[in-house]
Amino acid sequence: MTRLDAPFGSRIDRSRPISFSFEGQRFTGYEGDTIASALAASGQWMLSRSFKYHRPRGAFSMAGAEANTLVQVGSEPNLAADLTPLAEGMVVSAQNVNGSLARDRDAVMDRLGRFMPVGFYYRTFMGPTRKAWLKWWEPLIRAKAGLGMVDLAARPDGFDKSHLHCDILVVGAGPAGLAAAIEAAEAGADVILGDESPDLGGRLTYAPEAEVDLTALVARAEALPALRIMTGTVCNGWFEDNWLPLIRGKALHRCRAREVILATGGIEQPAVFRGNDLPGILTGGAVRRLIRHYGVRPGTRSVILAGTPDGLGAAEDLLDVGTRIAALVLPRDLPGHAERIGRLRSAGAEILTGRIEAARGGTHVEAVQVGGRWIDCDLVAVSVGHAPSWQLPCQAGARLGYDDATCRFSLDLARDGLHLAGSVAGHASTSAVIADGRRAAMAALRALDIDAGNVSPCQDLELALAHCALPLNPHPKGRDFVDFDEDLQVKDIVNAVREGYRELELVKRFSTVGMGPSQGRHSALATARIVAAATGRSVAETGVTTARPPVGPETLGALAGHGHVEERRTALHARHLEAGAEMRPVGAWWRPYLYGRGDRVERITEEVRAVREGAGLLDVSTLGKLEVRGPDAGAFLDRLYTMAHANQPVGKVRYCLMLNEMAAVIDDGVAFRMADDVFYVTATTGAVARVYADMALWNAQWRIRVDVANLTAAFSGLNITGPKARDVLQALSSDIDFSPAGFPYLEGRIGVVAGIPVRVMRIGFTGELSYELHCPSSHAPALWDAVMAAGAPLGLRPYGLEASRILRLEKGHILIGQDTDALTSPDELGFGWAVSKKKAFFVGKRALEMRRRLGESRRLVGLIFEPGTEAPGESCLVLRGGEPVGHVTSVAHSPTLGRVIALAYTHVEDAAPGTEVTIRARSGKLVTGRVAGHAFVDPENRRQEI
Amino acid sequence: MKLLSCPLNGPRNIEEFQYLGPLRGRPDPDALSDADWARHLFRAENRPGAMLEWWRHRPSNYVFLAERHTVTNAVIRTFDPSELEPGA
Amino acid sequence: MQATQTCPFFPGGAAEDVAPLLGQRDDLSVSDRSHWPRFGLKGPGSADWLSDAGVALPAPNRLSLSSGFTVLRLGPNDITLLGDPAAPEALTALCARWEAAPGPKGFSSWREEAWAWLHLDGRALEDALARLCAVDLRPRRFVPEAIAQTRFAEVDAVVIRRGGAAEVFFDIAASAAVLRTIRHGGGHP
Repeated sequence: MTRLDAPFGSRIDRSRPISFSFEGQRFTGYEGDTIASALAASGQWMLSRSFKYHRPRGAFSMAGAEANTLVQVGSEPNLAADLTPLAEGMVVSAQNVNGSLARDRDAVMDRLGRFMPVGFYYRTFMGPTRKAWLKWWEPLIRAKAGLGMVDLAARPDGFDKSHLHCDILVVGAGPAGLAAAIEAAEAGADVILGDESPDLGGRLTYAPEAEVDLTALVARAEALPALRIMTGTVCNGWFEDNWLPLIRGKALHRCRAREVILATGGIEQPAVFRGNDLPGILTGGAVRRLIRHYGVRPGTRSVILAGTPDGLGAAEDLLDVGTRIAALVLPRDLPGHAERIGRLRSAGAEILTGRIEAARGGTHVEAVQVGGRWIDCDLVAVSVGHAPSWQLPCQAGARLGYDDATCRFSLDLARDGLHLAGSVAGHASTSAVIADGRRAAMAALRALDIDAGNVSPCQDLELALAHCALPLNPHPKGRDFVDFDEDLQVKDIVNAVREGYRELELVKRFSTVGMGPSQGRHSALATARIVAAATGRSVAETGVTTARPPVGPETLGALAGHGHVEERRTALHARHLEAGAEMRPVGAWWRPYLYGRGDRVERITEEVRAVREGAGLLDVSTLGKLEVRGPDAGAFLDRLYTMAHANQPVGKVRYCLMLNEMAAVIDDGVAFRMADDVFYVTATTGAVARVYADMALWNAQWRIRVDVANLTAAFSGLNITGPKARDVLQALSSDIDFSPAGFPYLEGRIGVVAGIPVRVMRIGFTGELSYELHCPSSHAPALWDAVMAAGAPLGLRPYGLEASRILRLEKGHILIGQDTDALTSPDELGFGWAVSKKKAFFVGKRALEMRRRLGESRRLVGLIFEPGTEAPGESCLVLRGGEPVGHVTSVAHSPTLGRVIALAYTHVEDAAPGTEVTIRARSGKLVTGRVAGHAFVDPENRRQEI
Repeated sequence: MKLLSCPLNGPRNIEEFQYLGPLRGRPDPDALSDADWARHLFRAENRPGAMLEWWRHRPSNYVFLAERHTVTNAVIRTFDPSELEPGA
Repeated sequence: MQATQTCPFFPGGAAEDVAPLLGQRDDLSVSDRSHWPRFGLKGPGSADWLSDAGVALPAPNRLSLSSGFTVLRLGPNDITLLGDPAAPEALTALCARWEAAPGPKGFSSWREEAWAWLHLDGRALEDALARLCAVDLRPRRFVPEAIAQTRFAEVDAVVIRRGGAAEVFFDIAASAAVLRTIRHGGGHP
């Protein structure tokens, strides 16, 4: 075991061991460990095989920056082992291995690499036919491109979504973010401080500095009531107007901040040399994280590449924990640090100038080559500087620059409400970073009109040495990786440029650089430097590829949350269930499809027959119900609908047909004039939301004295229909005269039925004698009960949606949206009667006149099919001389006629009753239908008007 | 997510709103030729720059106007339709 | 409420199967007030008639406490008065006066039928509100007289806060879905 004693291991609790398995082998770690730290403590460094060449890979950053650490935990793939907290009983397995991690049969790919040059996929798959792709390539690639296994049976449990609001959101709790959050919260702002780490302090937690008392700083932050601290929280994107997703475990918090301070720090960069991807080669920061966070001694004999003073810190920590420093490799002078280097030399480190040219090893680093000489080691720490975490700033519109003198990438962000602070803003020494955090907080406070002081800028003594740009020449034997995720070497990028892809975005698409899970954190800047050199441009000119959310991987479960399903129920829902209804969703509504059990066709046939012969009861509560009222209500309807309503007498019900400005039919319904200034207007279930919105828009333009109330849910509707409908109503107590003379067809009444206030309209969709009773929804169950009780002796029965659809089709009634499309004109429906010839204006009138001058080409007609004919399906084409001229819109077997009937668009010259029309059925067979009149049942309208 | 400042409800997430298209001139239908009316219906100018648009706050069913820059997506102002200058 | 009336969470109501979720958690109590008295006017003449009847109207999107009811001003001419079943007299009297009055007097907005009305309270309230609504409803931001017409539990809703609790009004047909969302989306016990 390589565990160290306290004070090393700030995150682990040695009193709480945790057992888990990796690749079927049992391991033990501690509470506070990550999967990777616990495995490293047990000497298991290799975590995965690389994507293309199946090379052994291990943790490199210990900060979740690379795909090397992606593992499968139980049913969840692609978890970063260096970030995922260890939990008791975890079953962890490696991904992208054929066989086992240790004996991966695909490791041979590493030697076959020359057969898969850069652009292999791009080039290979421009060519193949779809057939070859489906049959051969896709299954092969799916099998090879192993990024975990998705458990199709997994249930999305425990996901959670919430909103957060604050004055100031500080992203990153390193020295800059911590200082900014304290400054802002102490000034009275409502502050959230988020960081993906489990603790506050950022780099100070693993690279402490004598002059900063982190414990005191954290205590000060934690004592502030106005400061909400969210550790273990990833800020995964920046969206317009400071809307940022904060993901903590399975919870997605959508944060709206008035001001945002991005103190996201930097990403420690790899050094590029042959074999730089071997397990055991880590960033200096990763080495210090392992030691200080997890108490893991990462090796026994190390080589340090110290391009920056950070490397010296790593070396000092290694000495402290008893790791031998075989060599300290200095690619350049580190002025001001001679004394530290001297101490390391005294401790036995060989000081070499130059750089690491190559590393070798099997599944772990065994030696590195410096100046041509091989030095044995089991640990390499590389410190060549950081790149600013550019993702969030660039999403918010920051521009990336590069200073050739200091080899420093810089970010320039000029947007109200956003501030960069600390090392992401280009500061290096801790005092300068803290001062910059306070400065950013003060700027944010001032933007919020909160008094804030000023902080004087602090001299940044470490800036000059903070970045070290090593040459990026390809190694003659390759395997010098620029992108670990995608197994891309220096020569691959160079070759991409040679292929003619000079722009970075094109290099990315051709080579796939930066497309892996780490999204270029380690590769983008090296790529930019290689492309810049190869194209003779500056790095700033080359830039980085566009940064888009999400910053890191996120689960779909977190985005979906708890899985809300939109659902609306009518007030009669429980009554339907009680009556044995089979409920089906229709849009957001649940509606009874039919009642009772047993053979569906039989049930539906019985329901249709009940309506034709006795009486049926349909819940029509989902119908849109709009009350249009005010002195100009009639004038308003006159403008919106095609018929005349201003002159409609009180007590009358009129059909309503709505067109859009292109004269296409978009809705229909009826309007019952309840008073001079009140119309009760119905709209189709699916269209009422749009009709209501359209009415608001039209009246915002017309500005006439009218108000529209959407009473769709406030009122329920019961349709009582069938030859015995009147008998049913007359069996109920009411102040309404239901006699034929007292209540003729197309009239409406307001009154009381069974003690319940109702609006009754004599209209119907079935072709039978029908009354539609509308009542306030709280009374609907009682009204249902009363109607059912009164109707029982008369054979009244409820019927469902399917019977209703058949009944309306038998009568030739259309359904807007089913029998109409985006172009259907009233004339194509044969609805000329529904269009006023007298009105000076209605929406669509002008276009309708134009369309009439152009002439009609199709007509919606009823078709009837002889028994034995194959029934066409909806959408089947209507042919004329072999050419399609229309299609079937509705089709059903009519129990009343014993025939299949349909509505279909035919050529306008084929619309006369008796014409035979050819349709290509689903089987491909041509079938013949005969044009019927506008109704199949009771075309003389005797039944509904009795 | 973008915020839109509703004249009635204040700043809200844009998902609470419905976009109802640009404010268009309302020529007299009878004064235009068929070709001009077709142009009115089907051709939008779509010029980059500030544009007046209809928006609706869905929960309150309130329709208002927003002036938005179609290049920057910045909303310059929002106002009640009653404040629309005649002829605009 | 008359004996013949049924609200969604009542026995026989559309959401009776979901009603047990109302009393399920002690850190977030959800109570159904859908049967509580209320009266809404909307359209031309509404504000004038109420003012003439002695009801002091707050600004749009503000609420005020009147004697015997709470006045919600949802728009210039869209006003809802919330009553209390323990003392319904003032509201009942005003309703009767409106029924008998000649026009212009606005038009009923039928809020008593169109809206479900839930009352939310408890230790987990603030947490639940943050889960269910994108508007900042924390008392420090959401002043007592504020009204939010917004999305709540995935539906269009009106949200107010009285006495520390929150009250939501929404499409009564969505009662079952909203209560389920409050329970499943409003935090995990």
